[in-house]
Amino acid sequence: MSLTGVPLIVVAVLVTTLTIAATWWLWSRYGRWRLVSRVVGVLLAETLTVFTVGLVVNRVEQFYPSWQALAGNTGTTVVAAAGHAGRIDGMVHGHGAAALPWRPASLSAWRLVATPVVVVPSGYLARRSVTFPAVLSLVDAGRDGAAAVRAAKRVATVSVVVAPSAGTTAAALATLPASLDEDVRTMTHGWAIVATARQAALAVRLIRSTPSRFGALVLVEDSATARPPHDRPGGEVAVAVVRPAPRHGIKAPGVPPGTAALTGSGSRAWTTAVEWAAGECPPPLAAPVQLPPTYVAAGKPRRP
Amino acid sequence: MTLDGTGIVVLGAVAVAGTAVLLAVLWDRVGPLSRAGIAAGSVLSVAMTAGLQLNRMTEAYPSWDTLPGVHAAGASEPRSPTVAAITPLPAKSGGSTVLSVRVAGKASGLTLPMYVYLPPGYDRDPRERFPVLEAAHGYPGSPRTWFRRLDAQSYLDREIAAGRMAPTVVLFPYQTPKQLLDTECTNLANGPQAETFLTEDVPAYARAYLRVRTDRAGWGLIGYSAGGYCATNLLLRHPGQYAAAASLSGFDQPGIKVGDGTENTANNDSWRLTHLPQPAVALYLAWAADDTPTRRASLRLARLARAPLAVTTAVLAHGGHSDAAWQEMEAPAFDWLSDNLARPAG
Repeated sequence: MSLTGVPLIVVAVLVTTLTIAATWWLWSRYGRWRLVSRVVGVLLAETLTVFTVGLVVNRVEQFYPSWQALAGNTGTTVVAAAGHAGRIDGMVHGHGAAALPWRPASLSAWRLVATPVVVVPSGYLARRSVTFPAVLSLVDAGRDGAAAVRAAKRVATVSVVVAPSAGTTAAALATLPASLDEDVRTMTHGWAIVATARQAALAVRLIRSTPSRFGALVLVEDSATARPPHDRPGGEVAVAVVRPAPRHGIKAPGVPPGTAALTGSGSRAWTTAVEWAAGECPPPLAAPVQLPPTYVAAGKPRRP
Repeated sequence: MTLDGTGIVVLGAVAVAGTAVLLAVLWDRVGPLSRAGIAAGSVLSVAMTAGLQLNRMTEAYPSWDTLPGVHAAGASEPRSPTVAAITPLPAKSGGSTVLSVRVAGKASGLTLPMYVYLPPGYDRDPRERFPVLEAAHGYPGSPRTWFRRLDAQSYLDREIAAGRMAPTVVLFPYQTPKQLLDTECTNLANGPQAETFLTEDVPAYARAYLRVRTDRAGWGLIGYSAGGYCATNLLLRHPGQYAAAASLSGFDQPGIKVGDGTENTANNDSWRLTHLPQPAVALYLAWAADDTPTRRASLRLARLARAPLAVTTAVLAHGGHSDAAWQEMEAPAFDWLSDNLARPAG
């Protein structure tokens, strides 16, 4: 019999009514035993009345739709999500941060100037159940790669340092995050991009083409008087610009509203930029516990 | 004796039994007026005991001085009409701390108590700034429900210790100055400005007195039942302030009259997703499959969601609209929130 069904309420009302009637009928009968029947009858009637009212309220509000729910049984157990091993895990040695050349299958489509470098943070190998956010550094060929790799080794994120060519498009590079997910234990969201001024437009287009992937953008400018581009990635992406400190007497131009202005030059600019970007990312986290996902027709659940 | 404890319910049950015995024994010895008095006492004791048990289940009135007209002795701070005090929670062994504070809201004009969960290691590095969650309770309910009925401190301690959640400061504010006035975290026309309190005054307090991140990437919301609606609604209405929210058995509309008709428009989340641009935020919707109202509301929201709004869904096989269901949802929701918020910044 259903906890919220009419039959149970009907039975409860009948039993309550009968109990009240029986208590009334027995009230002055059976001599000294009547005290016992009175007490038992009153308590039973009161309990059944409360129970019946509770059933009606529960039917209306559906707090406990089933006996299982009433017993606290949810029929569901949270489970630890299955972590995936990165394909390059076997290439990482030691406990420190490591930089490795990365040659995924889709590399040629990206039309890069040089082979990308993946940097895994200190402790990556030891923390096998942990997934990491990623910082994508878009550098100018032959200039900033080494500084970007050095900076990447200082933070607790996975990093990939990429030198695009003039032929690199955001549409082609949009496959990079998923490729990295397969090879390294990275999160599928909460990434950040650090880009030089020349790569800024590509970075903005890449963020727009994969809106749920990136949460922060840092632009590394060469000049203290550089005016940051007003073309922002949109959404709620956090934006910062790193510029050298202006010389005495020179005032740096303002930055667009909502943009963080940071100071640094040379390799220090990359350290500042990558550290700020990493700070905007989620922390490295062990595989979460999850509930079973559900299929929703029009919405697209990202993950359970 | 606490107002929300088992002891007072047992005492109520004893009173029920006592009045039943009195009724049985004195019925033949007293006049009609006394009989009526004892019978009324009997009914009253049953009603009061049922009420006390309901209060124990919802924590609507967690302590004596939250009752209307009762004031704590020695209190000197200005107090709200009925939400007068917040009872300190006993220490737990997980290394975390729960503070009882009072938020004097300049923007809303509300002064309300709040619990603050400080994660293990909060005092380790004075430069560290933590991500923050605001946790909304259901109706009827109070911030204490999170601790007494949903064991939030233990779940937070466990998820943080397991590395599935970053150390996070969690704020448990009141959403109303009167326990039985349901604000649904909105600014009621000619009533309490709960939304302003929760989105301006509470964050201002946290920034002033706690080591927390101040950017939106570090702020999230969570709530169960009516609090689930609060979490979703405040996230959609303030995307520049919060990055993610988790709604546990939440609704898509307030179910009250806000007073300006916005329960059908700007405070109706299905309406918002249909008629307004969707913000770039992350929303977690969990419900029990047999909880029909919140299942329908959550499915409506999930089906209306479009990029850049990212929706994640999770379902219990059953469990209804109950503490057991929310307890099952807590750990996955906390993990998901941490996964969608920025890390502690040092």
